[in-house]
Amino acid sequence: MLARFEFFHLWLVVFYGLLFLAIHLFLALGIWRAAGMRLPWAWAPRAAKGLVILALAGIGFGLWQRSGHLDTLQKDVEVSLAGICQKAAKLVVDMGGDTDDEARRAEVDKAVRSLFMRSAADEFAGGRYSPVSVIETGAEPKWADLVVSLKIRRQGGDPEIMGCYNQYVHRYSGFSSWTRPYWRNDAGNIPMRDIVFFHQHLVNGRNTVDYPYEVN
Amino acid sequence: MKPSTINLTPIPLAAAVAGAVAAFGAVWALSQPGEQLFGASMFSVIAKWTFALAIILLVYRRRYFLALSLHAGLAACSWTRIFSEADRWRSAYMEPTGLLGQLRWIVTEDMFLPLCVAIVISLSFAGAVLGGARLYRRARGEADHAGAL
Repeated sequence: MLARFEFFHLWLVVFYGLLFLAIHLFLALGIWRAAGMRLPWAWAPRAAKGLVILALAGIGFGLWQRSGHLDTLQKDVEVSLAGICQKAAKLVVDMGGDTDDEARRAEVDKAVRSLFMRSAADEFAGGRYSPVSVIETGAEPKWADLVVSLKIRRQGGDPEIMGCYNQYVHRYSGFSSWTRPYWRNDAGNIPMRDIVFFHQHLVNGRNTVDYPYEVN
Repeated sequence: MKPSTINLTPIPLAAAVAGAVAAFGAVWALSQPGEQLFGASMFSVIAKWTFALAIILLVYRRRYFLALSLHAGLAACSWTRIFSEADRWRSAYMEPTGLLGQLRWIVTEDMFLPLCVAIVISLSFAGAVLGGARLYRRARGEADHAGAL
């Protein structure tokens, strides 16, 4: 999903390179002629101009394509994360997770974490040139949540955060206000389910957490 | 430097293109494209561009037109490197901006020093083309004169 941002970054860099090479060629030919010299190739200025136009067209196309992908990115990330939460919730039920057998619970916990890690690696690979960054994948023993942030500069404040609260591990809600990770700070009352999809965004300048999908 | 010590033999078009592309590629690789261009590595990146410019100045003595094509490649590379960094920065936020937005970011943020280096490289390239035209005309005029004798 994010590889296309890497592709369009490379695309733009190639055309920036072409643009600046063509501009310098054009500049050199113009100076050479202005100094009263004859050009060895009559077609060269037209070719340079053509390259500049081609490069500008390539840059414009890349920027246009990427802004289109940016417009749908928020929804795409939300849908993909909600799907992961859904899968994790189903996994908990399928493995018979609703039990007081601690060994069983530890097994389910491990399976959910590895599902989070695998899914995050699959869905959000190659995100270096995109506004998406993966914050938590369940690798950290303390948290067990899957958390992804979406940087939006024009909001000025915190980035949007989405992901899955792993309430299966934190069923007794072991967090106090001192030990809580920041993506749970504004969570309010988390729904009573094993895996909860959440979406934190700014409403009137305040971080607000929504639970838009019914998972489980 | 006396004009007579400069080799003004024209080079084939293919060699000029290859020279520009090679200079572009070499400086691109040297400028640590995997790393951020500002911050701690800024000085080293600028030093590399300046070093490349110094090498090209040496080539100007040996083969003026080859050095011109290398200089063009270096200039294009420095601008591309700056714009690619601006694009990397831009693409990390959900805020689509065009060429002008990137230029504004380059001028106002940390990229100002590399931008100055790129401008110096481009201006010196323009000066070298102008100087080359004058030298070439003078050398050819002398050769014509010598041929007439």
